[in-house]
This record gives sequence, C-alpha cells and structure tokens, in this order.
Amino acid sequence: MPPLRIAFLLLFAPHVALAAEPLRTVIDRELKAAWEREKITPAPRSSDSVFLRRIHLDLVGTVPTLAETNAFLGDADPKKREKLIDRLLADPRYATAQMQLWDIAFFGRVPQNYEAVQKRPAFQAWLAKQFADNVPYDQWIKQLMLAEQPGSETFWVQYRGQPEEMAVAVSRLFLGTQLQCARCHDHPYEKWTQKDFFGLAGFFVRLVVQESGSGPNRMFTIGEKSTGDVLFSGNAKEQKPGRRGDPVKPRFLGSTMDLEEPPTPKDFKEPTPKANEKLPKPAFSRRAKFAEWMASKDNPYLAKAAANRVWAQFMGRGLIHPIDDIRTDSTASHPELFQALTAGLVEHNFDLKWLMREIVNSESYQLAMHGPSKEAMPRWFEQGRIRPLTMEEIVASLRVVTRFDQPGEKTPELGWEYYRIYFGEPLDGLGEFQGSLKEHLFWNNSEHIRRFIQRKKGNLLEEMVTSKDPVEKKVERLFLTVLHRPPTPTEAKTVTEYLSGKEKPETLFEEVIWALVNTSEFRFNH
Amino acid sequence: MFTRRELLSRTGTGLPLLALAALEAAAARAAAANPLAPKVAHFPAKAKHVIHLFMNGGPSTFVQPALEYHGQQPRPPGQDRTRSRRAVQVAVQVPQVQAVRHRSVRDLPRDRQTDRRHLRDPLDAHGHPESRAGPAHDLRQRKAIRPSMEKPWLQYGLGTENQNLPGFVVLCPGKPVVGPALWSNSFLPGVFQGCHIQNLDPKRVIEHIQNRYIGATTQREQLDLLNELNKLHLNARNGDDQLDARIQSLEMAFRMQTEATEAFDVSREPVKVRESYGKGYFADACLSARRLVERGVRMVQVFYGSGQPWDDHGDLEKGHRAKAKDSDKAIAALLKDLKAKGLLDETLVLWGGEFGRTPTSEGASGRDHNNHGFCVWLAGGGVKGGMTYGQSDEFGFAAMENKVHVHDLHATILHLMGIDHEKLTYRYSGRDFRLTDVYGTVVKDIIR
Repeated sequence: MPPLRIAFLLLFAPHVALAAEPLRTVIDRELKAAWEREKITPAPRSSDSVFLRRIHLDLVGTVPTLAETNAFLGDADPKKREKLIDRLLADPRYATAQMQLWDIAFFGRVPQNYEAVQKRPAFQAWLAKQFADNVPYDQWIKQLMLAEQPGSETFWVQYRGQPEEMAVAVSRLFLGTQLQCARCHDHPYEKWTQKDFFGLAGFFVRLVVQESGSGPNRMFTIGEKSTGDVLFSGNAKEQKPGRRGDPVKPRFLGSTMDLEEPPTPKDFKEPTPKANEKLPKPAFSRRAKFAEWMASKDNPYLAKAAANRVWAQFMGRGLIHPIDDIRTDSTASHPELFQALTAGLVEHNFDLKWLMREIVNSESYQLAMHGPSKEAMPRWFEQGRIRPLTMEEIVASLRVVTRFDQPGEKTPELGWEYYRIYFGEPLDGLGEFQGSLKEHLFWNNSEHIRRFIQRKKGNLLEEMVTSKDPVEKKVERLFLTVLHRPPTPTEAKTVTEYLSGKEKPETLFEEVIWALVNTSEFRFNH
Repeated sequence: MFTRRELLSRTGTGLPLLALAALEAAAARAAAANPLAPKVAHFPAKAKHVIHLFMNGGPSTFVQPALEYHGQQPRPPGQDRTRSRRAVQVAVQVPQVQAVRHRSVRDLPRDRQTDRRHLRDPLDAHGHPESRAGPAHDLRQRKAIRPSMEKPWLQYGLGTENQNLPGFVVLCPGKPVVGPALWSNSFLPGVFQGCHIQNLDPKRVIEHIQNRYIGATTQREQLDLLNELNKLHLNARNGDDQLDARIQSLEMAFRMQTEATEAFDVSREPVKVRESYGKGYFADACLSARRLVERGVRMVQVFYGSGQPWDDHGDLEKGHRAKAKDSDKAIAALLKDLKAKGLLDETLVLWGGEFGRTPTSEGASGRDHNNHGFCVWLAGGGVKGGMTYGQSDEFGFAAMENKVHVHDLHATILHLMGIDHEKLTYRYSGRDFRLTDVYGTVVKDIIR
C-alpha cells in the first residue's frame, strides 16, 4: 500500500516533505490556515484584466499595450498567467523596474547630498546590472559593501564622513534592524546597546571618500585607512565638552565578541595621499571582513530582511511589519511562512528572481482586490492590495497608453524634475496614499500631462479622431487601451453620452482620454 | 498606520502618555480620511491663525547704552565671537527694529504687542534657528532634517479650516538661502508641506492653477465625467478610504483654482486699504496674508525678500535703515487692518529673523550673526500687550534673564493654537517625534 507509506514518511520527516514542496504552495497553505483561524473570507481570484495590469506594474514597472492586452485576454490557455510571468521576468524592463524600487530605498527621492545625486545614474546602472544578470543577492550586497565595482561607491558617498549614518543605513536596509536609538543611549525596548551601534560603525570609520578629476569627470572611490577607531564617550545625556571618549572595536551585529584584528605595527604611519591619489589597500581590511560577514552563514539577518522586503514589495506589507524594524521579539504574522521564505531564499542561493516567481505564481498574490478589508495593506493578505503607481510607473504607463513614443521620433525631454515634485512621494510615510492638491493641479492643468494626450501622428487621440469605427467600438478600445478591460455598460453609456457633446470630436476625445488617465484606476494599480 | 492594539503593545511598557497622545491623534486622523480636515485641538485655542513676518537674515534688535561706553574699550570678557573684532560705536545708535516697533505702536495696537527679548538658539548658521534642526542632529550638513517649525506641524495637528485653500502658505519672492527645505514637511506627510507662492499675480499664484487648454465649464464637465468613473470604481472596491480621499482632493483642487485666484487678488481691496500697505512685494504679501487668514488659512509666512536681505555683514546702518523703512508701513497697516476686521484677537503675528546680530563689529560697518541673544515680537492672538520679556547682558550679546529658547517659543505658539506641544507627536523612524524635541516650556507670563 504505497500511499500509506508516503503518509507515514510525511509524519516523521516533515522537513524532507516541505523542502520538495514549491514555495507557492506553502504560501497558499499558510495564508489559508490564517484565514480559517481568523474567520476571514478572502477575495476571489482576480480577473484576467486585473492580473494583467498588476503583474506588468509589479514586474516591469509599466502597463501592457493594447496588443498585449488583447492577446492575453483572448488566450484560452489555462497556463497563460504562469507563462506571462516567465516572459516578464525575462523582459529587459524587469531589471530597470526592480532597480528603481531598490534605488529609492537606498537613496530616497532627495538624497542626502549633492554628490550622491550627481553620480546616481552610475549607481543605478550598476544596480540594474545585478538584476539583469540575476546576481545572487548576498553576492551583490557583498560587492556593495566592498564598493569596488564602478558605480557601487555612490551608496557610500551619500554618507561621506559619517560612519554612524552608514551604520544606521546598513542595519536598516540590509539587516532589517533599527539601531539608531542606540546611537545616543542603549535601546529602550531592544537588546541593542550603544556598544553594538558603535561596534557596527567601527567597520565604516576608516572609510574615506576619495576624489579624482573635476566637473563631469569627477570620480569617487572609497578608500580605507589602516588606523582609526570610533570613539565612544557614553550616554549622550552625560556628554561634557572636551571628553574624547574611548576607542571601540568593531563588532558584527548580534555578536558578543569584538572583531579579532592584528595589532597595528608600532612604527606604522598612515599614508597621506595627495590630491587625486588613492590610499593603498590596508594590510588588514575591516571593510573586507564586514563584506564577508554580510554574505556568510553567520549573518542571520540578511536573508530574513530580504525575504521580508521582497514579500512586502508584492503583497503590500511585510510578514513582519514595518520591514525595516525586525526586532528580537517580533513575531511574523505567519511564522511558518516567514521561515519557509527565508530558508527557501538561502537554499536557492539568494536568487531573488526565484523568490519573486514563487510569490507572484501563488493564488494569494493573484486574488482580486475587492474584499472585506478597507485597509490599503490588508493584514492577512485576504485581497490584492491597492497601491499608487510610482513616478516612474506613471510616466512609463502614460507613454504606453497614449502611444506617446512614435517610431523614428526623438524622445522629447520630459522634465523629470516636475514629475518628481508632484508624483515623487505619494505616500504619507506610513504607507497610505495622499494625493496632494499640487498633484491634482498638475494632473488638471500642466502641460507635462497634457502633452502625452494631445493629438500627434500615430497616437491614441489621432486614432480616435480619424477612425471610422462606430463610437461604441471606440469607447471599448479606449477602455482596453488605458485600463486594460472593456467598459461596464454604465461606463460605456456615460462616456458615449459625453462624446455626443457639442464641442468638436478632437476636444471631446482629448477630454475623455484625460479623464481616463486621471481615474483612480489608472493612478493606482487597479 | 498603527492599529490601536499594535500601539498599545508597542508602548505599553514604555511611555503611556505618548501612547495616549498618539492614539488621540490616530483617532482624529481616522475620523476623517482627509488628513487636512479640521481637527480638535488639545484645549481651547487663543489663536486660530499665525502670520509669521520673517525677516530672513538676522535683523539687529537692540540698543544698549553700555556699548556706547564699552565701544571705546577693549573687547568685553566672555564674548567668543568678538575675538579679533573691535567693538563698534556706530551700530548701537541704530535701533531700526525699535523704529518698526515704535511706529507700529504709535499707529495702533501697542496693547497688543509683546516684545520677546531675548531668545537663544544653539546654532549659528543661516536657516538653522528657523528650520530647527535639533541640537543632537547634523550640524555639518546644514540642512533642515526635520519638519520646519510650527507650520507643517500646526497643520498636522489642527488640519485646515478652508478646504479650498492650502493650510500653510509661504509668500517668498524667490528663494531663501537654504531653499525650500524651510517649509518642507520633511518626514511629516507630503500634504502638510507649505505651498510656496513666489508670484503674487493671482493668475500665476499657485503652479498649475489655471488651465491653458480648456475653459472652466469644459473642465467642470470633464471633472464630472471623471467623478462618475471614479465613483463606479470606488463602489466596486468597497469604498476604499484612499480612493475616496483622492476623489475629495480632486474636487478641492478644482475649487482651489477659483478660490485661490480670488484670495490673492489684492486689487479687490479698497484703494484706501491698498494705499495704507504701500507698494511692492512685501506690502502685497502682507495684504494677501490678511486676505488668506480671513479665509481660514492656518499659517501664512511672509518672507521679507529673496535670499537673506536682513544679513548686513557690511554697512549695517544704511541697510537696516532702508529695510526697516520699507517694511514698517506694511507691517503697521497689517496690524491695523487685522484689528479693524476683528481678526487680530484670533491671529498671532510673529515678527523675527533667523537670529540677531552681535553688538560688536564685523569689518568696518557690519555685524555678524548672534544666536546667543536676539528678539522677536508677538502681537494679537492671545499674547499680553505692551510688555517686554527677558533681558540680555548689558552689551546685548547673550540672553541672561528669562531666557526663551526657540523650543520655548514653539511650545508657546502651539499652546496659543490650542496644542500641547508634548502631545503633538508623529511616529517616524521608530520613535515619536515632537516639534520641540524633548525640550520646550510654554512662556506663560506673556499669555493673556
């Protein structure tokens, strides 16, 4: 009786069984268990239109073209969603879209200093390459820590001369830990002491931002001195002028031991490079030790923080939320799932693309967005989350739906600064969308939005004005183009009535297109 | 946003007061999906609006007879900024700000004025006392890393009364030295950012306020179409709060297009009133400030000029005289006008710069920044009139008696607006932030 034997094995060796189980199944099983426990009815499976728009935005940062929409909606293949996912994961736009998300996490919309802004394109190129080549996450983090690959140094330039800020950023972004409280006093709720904070800063205190060239040729590299320590003078409240503090040895986060390092030779003299010269590599490099530790099995934080971040990217909130505040006493909303995500990521050599593929192939990711919860980031993931488009996604999507870029035409300068001002930060800092009045005025009246819509050869408005199709057909095509679904009967009626107005057809169609790209449905992912 | 349970479990062992305050704030926010909706104050407010006349740069604010004597003497003891500079006699004879004050006073509301000497601020760089980077924060980068002063914070705490106009308006003809960071919301939600108005021409007053492509009627029809589509979308999504809020603010933006144009149109004022303010950007800005306050705007900040005009490192006497003369008429007219309209009781007018100037000279005829002691004055909404508060040393260098730190000034302004500065918190980066950091005492003696 073979089936029985299998059941027997399952009982006694659950780990073996779990390892063979695809992560997407674990996701669905664990979320379902929580819904049953919490007595929640999840939303049904999303419609093809909703899924199509969601997956395009989440993976490649833009919406599909009318042709892509028609092809997908008309496809009867039951495996078409999985196939689309594979196609988008292999799309060159995937790397750019993922880069943009991480780049914002690293720098914010307005970076710490001017130099960081100047060299950000080089960093973005470096980061996009990591995604394009699907370099294992732990490996590119290691390279980021080493800052030797051109472009990667920009991350450090933003914290120039501020080892404490580096410690705050590295712990928050890559280790999911909020250490900054321990900068001035021992953390009130956590085990972190000031020694932990300055111990981490000790790895960065010897880093030096080196410059060469000037103007557009100005280049940065990150050198490392052989000497220098963080000086610790106790609780910020008890500071007295003139107190220098005592040197603190570097210490890996969570470790109880200081880093072992060879003593500096007595007669060692730190070289002082001239302008445009670089520091020699130190005989003992704290930076190299730290980079090695980041990507090693001894670092328990890296995989957890990354798994949680990627989960939140697609599902709206972290299994531990917020994602950059994983505490010793934090319990994940779905502990077994969190464990499976983290273990899976490690087993698959930190392959982020694998993790994303599993998440978006789960039934849970593919739920419809209308469910019982009113929350933007439903706590139990019982429905698809509603999120506003990023600045990059808005502009990219506007280009696609209005057919702004015509073959053989030089792409006009868009004036990114404007989009940054009005769409740069749509969230209130706690994850909730807050469309500002300035944003609406920008949508309503600015030439920056208008020029996408205005009639030009080959674009959507031109097609609407010149096509001989009956108006019903045109309305349907408008909805399929902008919102990737046919209109409901009420919508079709409303828009058709509007189009029968007394202004000339070009004006009427222009206003309808304006209204469609201005809908909440376009501004958000659904 | 934190749920009630999360909040309690996070802070239950720690700071019950903060938790309570945060809960209250969360409840207030939850009550209205619109973050700008008016909110309930902590206690009855004495003032509803603030007009901040901001003399960017650092105006000199004192007369000290002692200097006339000491000016001839070697450097006074204990003045670290005076090293290598010689005390100067001329400067002390120029009580420009006194002139502003006295003339305004003579004109009318002396009983409504409080001279607040002497403030103290730990930082001495442009933009800092204004933007209030906290003492524990980054001094090297000289940047405003916290939400600027009371303005975004006021709006965050109280919401805005007039839903058709921005709650916090900055009138500045250009850019101050450190730029828009001065009215930045920083970590507060973006909606609380100050609305910068550079050009007072009503048609260009707010960016994108007018549509060059279609008329108002067409735009209304267009918006109605959009609203219909959005409502269908909203209903299909269970009335999601974010979506609903967006529909509301779209409407608000449209209404603002009409109302803002009207509010900034000073040509609608009687000729007599316009003449009383005088001519120029500052005069028009003062008059606009009154019109905005009249329409329920919470906070108006009027910059004296672009850059840092009140920063006379050289030729102070001439420079200060000219600026005092130029601004005096408009300020006096504003106070009178507010009084005549019955708005002075509910409008706190704050006059001040970024810091004061040293009693000692810089070069031959200028004076340097002084953050150790400087003055502001307050009038109207809830403050006692006709008094001075605090005293400096005999040189006018550092605050000595009844020192008022900028944190204390903030605490007092919030208090007048009905906000307990210790309860107005915003959770960011793992902790609750306050405008006044962990400092600030309300200066009760100056409150009516």
